[in-house]
Amino acid sequence: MRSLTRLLLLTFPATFRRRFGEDMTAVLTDRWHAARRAGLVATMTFWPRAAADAIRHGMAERSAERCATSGRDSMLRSLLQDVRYALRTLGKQRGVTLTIVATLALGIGATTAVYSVADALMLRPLPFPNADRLVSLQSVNQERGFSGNVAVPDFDDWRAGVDAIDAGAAWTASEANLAGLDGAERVSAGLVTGEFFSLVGATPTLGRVFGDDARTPGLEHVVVLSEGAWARLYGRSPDAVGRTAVLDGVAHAVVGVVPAVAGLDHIEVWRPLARTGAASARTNHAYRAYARLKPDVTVEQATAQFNAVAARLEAEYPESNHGWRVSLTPLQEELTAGLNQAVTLVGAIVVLLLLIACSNVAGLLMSRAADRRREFAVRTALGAGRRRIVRQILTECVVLGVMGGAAGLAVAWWSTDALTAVLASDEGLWRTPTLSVQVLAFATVMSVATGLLFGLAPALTLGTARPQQQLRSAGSGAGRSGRRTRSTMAFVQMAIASVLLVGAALLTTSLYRALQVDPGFDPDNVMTFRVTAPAATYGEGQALTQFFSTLTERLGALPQVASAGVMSSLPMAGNSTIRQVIRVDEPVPERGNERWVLYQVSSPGYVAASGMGLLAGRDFSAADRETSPPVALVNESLARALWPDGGGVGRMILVPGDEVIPREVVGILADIRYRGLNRPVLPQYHVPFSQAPRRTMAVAVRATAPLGVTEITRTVASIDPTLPVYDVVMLSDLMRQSIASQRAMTTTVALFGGLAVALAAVGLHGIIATGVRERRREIGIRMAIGATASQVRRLFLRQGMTIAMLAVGLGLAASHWAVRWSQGQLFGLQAPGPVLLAAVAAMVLGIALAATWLPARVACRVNPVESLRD
Amino acid sequence: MPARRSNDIDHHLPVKPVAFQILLSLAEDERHGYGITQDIAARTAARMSIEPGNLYRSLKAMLDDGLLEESERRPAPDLDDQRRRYYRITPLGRKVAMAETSRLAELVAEARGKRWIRGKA
Repeated sequence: MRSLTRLLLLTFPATFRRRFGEDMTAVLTDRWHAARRAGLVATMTFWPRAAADAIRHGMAERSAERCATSGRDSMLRSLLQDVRYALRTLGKQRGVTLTIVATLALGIGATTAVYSVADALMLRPLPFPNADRLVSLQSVNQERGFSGNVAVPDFDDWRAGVDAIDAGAAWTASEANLAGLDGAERVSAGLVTGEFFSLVGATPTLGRVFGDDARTPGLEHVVVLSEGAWARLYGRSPDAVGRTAVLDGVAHAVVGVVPAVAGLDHIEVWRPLARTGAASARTNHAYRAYARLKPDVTVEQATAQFNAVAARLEAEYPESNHGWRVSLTPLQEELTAGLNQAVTLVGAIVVLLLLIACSNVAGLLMSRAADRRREFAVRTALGAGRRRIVRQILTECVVLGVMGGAAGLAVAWWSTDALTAVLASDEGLWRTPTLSVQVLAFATVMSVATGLLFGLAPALTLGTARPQQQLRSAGSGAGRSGRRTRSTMAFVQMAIASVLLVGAALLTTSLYRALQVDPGFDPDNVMTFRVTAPAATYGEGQALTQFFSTLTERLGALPQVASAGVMSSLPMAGNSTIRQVIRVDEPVPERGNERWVLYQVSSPGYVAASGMGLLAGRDFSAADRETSPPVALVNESLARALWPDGGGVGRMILVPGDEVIPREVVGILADIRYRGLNRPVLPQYHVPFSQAPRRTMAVAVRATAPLGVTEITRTVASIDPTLPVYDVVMLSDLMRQSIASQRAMTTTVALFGGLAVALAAVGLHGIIATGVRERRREIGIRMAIGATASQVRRLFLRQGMTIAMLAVGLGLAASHWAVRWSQGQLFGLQAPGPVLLAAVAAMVLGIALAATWLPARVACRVNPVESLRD
Repeated sequence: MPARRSNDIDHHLPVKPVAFQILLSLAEDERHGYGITQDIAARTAARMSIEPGNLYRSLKAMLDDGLLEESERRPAPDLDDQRRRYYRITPLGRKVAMAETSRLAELVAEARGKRWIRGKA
């Protein structure tokens, strides 16, 4: 809003701006708010009107000022005259002007939105110091087909042994229980090695950050707060440093405060990544690692050095490090890899849309120019210079372009938000796309360039012809070549629209299919949340089992609760563990032939609480204890894979490597869509919580009457008031979120597809309408010599429908390749079937028929006598 | 730029339609820019909508001509934005408005004589 207003005010001379600028901004702001209250039409027309007003009066003021100071300025005056004349002519043909401005606005707006997003996420360097030298480190094991995160001890050895980097850090995002004055809460925590802060350029606003020495056992109880946490917990008090924060039941000294780290701005506390526990295993490839290359070192040189150290580690620790190598990727490349696809796909669609929009506007302008041949011929005959007329047309185009650009910014605002939502639903973004000054400039330049581009064609045909010829032929319009150009444009538009519509239809059907899928459980009225029982209070094993079984008992005793249970990870929550499972009587499979299945720890009551179906056998019960024989539940898919002949209850399974004693299958569960409605069913098995206790569990509570969060927190607090309840979400919402990004993508493509068809219809309508106007005389003659109204109508219908049918044919054929290309970009996109293609064809042709019918009806109402007299 | 003030009322006639509307808006009250556009929209039943560029160019010309002046009075701080300028009509502005009204009235009377307006002549 501010930057736009400032841009508009630039049309006025500086003295005027100094005197009235602030007031004008206030008036514009008030009017903008009023327009937004008034509704969509007022909002859409606000900026074009404001732009037209600013251009006209700003330039008038400039010209008046120049006249006052330096006499005449004919160049500026004639330009001003052009602008004023352009505004007046455009104002007279309000319908055409509105169509052109709206068309341009859609094209420019969508392009600007995509540019904004691409600019923020892909074109601008990452918001870290020396971002071009930052690389991401990955461990790669060719033999095991693994490529991904790194193990911390390996990282420490690389850091010590590689000379090509001047900083490096391993980190992971985690969570912690923070005890406060009014109960406990769950906060996001970052576990980082010492150089992390300098790597991402986080300089402390208060106190200091910790170094690598803080990772030594005994020194690790320090914490650095984010500015957000500092404000929230300590009210930005400078005394915060030196205070104590209780994290997971252990006192930590607050040593400093740092600003939010881009892309990790949800993290509230930073703790040292200890050299003990899980992080000390060379087999635990669970940590992200970044490094900054020294200047003038290439990625290849650095990779060679890293791998020299990796080879040494392999010799030193053959057990854990056999086959492990390091791969380096520029950080920007790694972070944008996932976005590239979505932005490229949407970008391609938008470019097609802009193409339609521009050719449409060109068509509209050409037919307008054809109508105005006589006017320009008269002006030429009266002595107007040819250059003057060409300039007049170009001025009109630029004015239209600027107005379209102004309206396009409103469109861009909305689309940027929409597009950001599509991308952010998958993962966090390190920079929120906003409409920046750069993007503003891009939109303005683009709108003027499009103005000139489509202004050129009519200006060239008009400006060169001789006035006598034009006056003589004025009645018969643009002639054959102009008509053919416009028909070609309508054809191309229709074809592009068909391609987009096929894509939209495909995405819509697959979304519909995903919505129809039976998840295999009943997500309604199930509230879920997570609780972590910290090691400091609960230790291992027995105490954990005790805590969670008390919790489910007390929750189950609430009057509104039908059943309650805990599990290690909720369906569709995106975190799951896999293990390999074999029958006890089969040999351990060779590498590459393992049967990997989803692994779940659950308590008695979970099956009922989540509404899964139990097909055979029983659920876990209180009788399944740590000391009782190991048991398991398997789902239908796994039972079928293990025992193709049927059965399963009472048989024994084994997890090679991890378990020595086989587990008895006590029940078979119905299959569920565990990873999302749009994902396939996976084999899965459960073990009882009492036999594999964990610290963090998700709790599911099936309610029969409305259940509040307060009842949940009160129940947890009745057992341990220091434990926070977090991630409270209804199971049905989790299920909806699992297809949120698919839904957003479908909406976007369907919207663009719809727009494309609408624009193409406008284009086709324009062609036929112009044809009718130009051929009035011919129609008159035809009717005079006996053609009937329906014959005349058929003449134009045939013309329109020929274009449409050829275009639909080409479009459907092209959609075949378009879909094949997008299959790489979009998960699960199927090739279009004949029914879908037929439906799209019918739809486009139906719309084309409507767009042709209207002007064709006008044609058959031509009065032959009047048309011949003209 | 030097102000083109002139006390000769005829020198200011005829008054442009936008300027006349502004004078009408300020006849009784002091208003700020947005207030003027609101008042004009209300009086003309939204048939006339003045965009900011047009408004301030007219205001500038009228200030330079001495038809309007900026009011030094500001509204109570809690009522409105203090930074906004308020405008009021000058004695000259009032005289010009009255002269323009009589000029228009004469024109209308003449038109009535030609029976261009229905009703009593």
